[in-house]
Amino acid sequence: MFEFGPILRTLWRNKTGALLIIVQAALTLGIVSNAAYVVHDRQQLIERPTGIDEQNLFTLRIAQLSNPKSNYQDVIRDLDEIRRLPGVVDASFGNTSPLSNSGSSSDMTNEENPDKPVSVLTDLFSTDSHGLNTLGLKLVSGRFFNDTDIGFSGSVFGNGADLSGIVLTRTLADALFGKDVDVLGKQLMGSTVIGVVEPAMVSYVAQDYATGVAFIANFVANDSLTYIVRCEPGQLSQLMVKVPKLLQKLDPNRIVRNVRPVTEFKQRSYRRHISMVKMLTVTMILVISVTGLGIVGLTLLWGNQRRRQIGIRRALGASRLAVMRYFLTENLLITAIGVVLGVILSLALNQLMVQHYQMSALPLSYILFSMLAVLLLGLLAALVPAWRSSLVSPALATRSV
Amino acid sequence: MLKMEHIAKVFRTDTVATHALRDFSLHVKAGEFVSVTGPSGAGKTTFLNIAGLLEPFDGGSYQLDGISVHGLSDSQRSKLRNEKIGFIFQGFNLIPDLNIFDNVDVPLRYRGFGRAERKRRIEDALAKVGLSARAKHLPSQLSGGQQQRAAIARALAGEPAFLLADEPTGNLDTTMARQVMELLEQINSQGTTIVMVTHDPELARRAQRNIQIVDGEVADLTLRQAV
Repeated sequence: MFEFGPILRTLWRNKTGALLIIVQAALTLGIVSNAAYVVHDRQQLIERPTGIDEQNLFTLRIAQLSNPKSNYQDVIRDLDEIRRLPGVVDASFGNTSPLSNSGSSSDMTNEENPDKPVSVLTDLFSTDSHGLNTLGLKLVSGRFFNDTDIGFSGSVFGNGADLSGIVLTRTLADALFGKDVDVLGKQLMGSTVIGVVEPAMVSYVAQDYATGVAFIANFVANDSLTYIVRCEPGQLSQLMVKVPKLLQKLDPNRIVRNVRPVTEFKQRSYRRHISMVKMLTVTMILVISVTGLGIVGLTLLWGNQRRRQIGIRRALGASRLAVMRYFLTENLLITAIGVVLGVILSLALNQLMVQHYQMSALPLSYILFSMLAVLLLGLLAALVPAWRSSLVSPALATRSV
Repeated sequence: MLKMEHIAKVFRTDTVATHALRDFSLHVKAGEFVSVTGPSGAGKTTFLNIAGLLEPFDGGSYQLDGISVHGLSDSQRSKLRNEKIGFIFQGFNLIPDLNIFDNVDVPLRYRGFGRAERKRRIEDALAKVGLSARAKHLPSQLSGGQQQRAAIARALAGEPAFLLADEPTGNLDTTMARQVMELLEQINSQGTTIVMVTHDPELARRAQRNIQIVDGEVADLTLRQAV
């Protein structure tokens, strides 16, 4: 029924066209399986939950004109006034804009076992007692800061011993002390852990350590300060206008700038990943289209070149379905050889990416899916040319060449 | 075996209608060897195409081995063609990319025979035409006479009710032509009905009966005794 033997022997005698499709199918599988994996990997990264109420947050920066250093009392006044505005859930200061992919990071070391210290790269985020509610964090154990916890060190972390306490995300606590260990009261870099919150990304988004955050109640007096405002749903746009006006009114002798929703920072932080997803998606579409069109073109060409042969087959009893089956089987065999080579190519490409780009190994499911997709592409692309070939009249066999 | 009654076939373009066959009637009995002759354009090939179920006809009736072919679907016609008719073409019409074994195999595969049955039939057919040793050769590696014998083997392998031969010696030299003709006569003597279209009056005379087609009609029926 399926003329595998004669088809393979015929292909062996006419290798060039078949080789072209084999190479195209192999390249398509190699590229598509790896590209699809990278796209999925990046999309998962982009879509993972941040753990903060990013949709209702915006930030702004204050630059003092007269006094280069911000005054803490002024900050308290500003934030109190902001919180009084209708539609504002809460407001706090921070050392950076959430999800902006910039901030302060440092190694935190658990030295409980001096012979085996555990160091974890950590996002250090300084804020005030309203930070928990402003960001929309969820407390797991212990407490967040109160107004008396605030310290005044020269840098974000300052001197750990001067801090009243430190709050960790569960991710960081697990990484430093072990999974689900009660970390309240434990010493870390000279400070005491007073609370644990659910995993959240604050300063960073794309890095491996993004959800490993240590919150510090520390006011760093410098020439530029970030205010974070959490709004009730639907109030963001209005408040992004009202809050800067209010601040300007409270103290005209300063500049309020960079009023931006946190979603914009997130979008920017993922820009490289979003671009890669777009580029790889376009590449996949192009590769699939080129291969599909290549198969269509070559099958049409073969059909035209073999019109007389088809006529002879029809005269000898081949139905239209049998002619279609012949061409589809032929394409399937060629594509299948390409798919086998493609799997080898795909694994080799992945090995390169694992070695040079810190990619993880390509899951088997991606290879299987790509194999099916390329085989299906081969069949679909050959469908119309095969149908056209099946329309050749058997009377062609009796016509002179 | 073959019963055509008042067959009409018209080829139409936008402006012209050409009557290739008109009121064409012919009966061929089982076991007969009939030659069909006529000048170029008389309608020989059209008759062959209709008799071989390669083309539909516009009017009349046609029964092949007792089966009315009118109104059959394409797949039914293909099946009937495959089971009842063996074709021998002027240009041999072997498939160039397949060796002789695979060429003879082509109609048998469409018939749905199993591998062992096909192999037996192919070997028998090639033995009948004296090409057993050439089974793995490509058509291009054979002489014209050998290619035509391979085509005859392909036509015989399915044990059809009748053979339709279109100028079977047209591309062969005299010696080869004689050998092929002797082979056809031998096949006929074993009971296979043969209808042969030819230009060659010498070959036509070797058939039991000669039909002459002129302007799409049967011009003369001459019953001849078998030689």
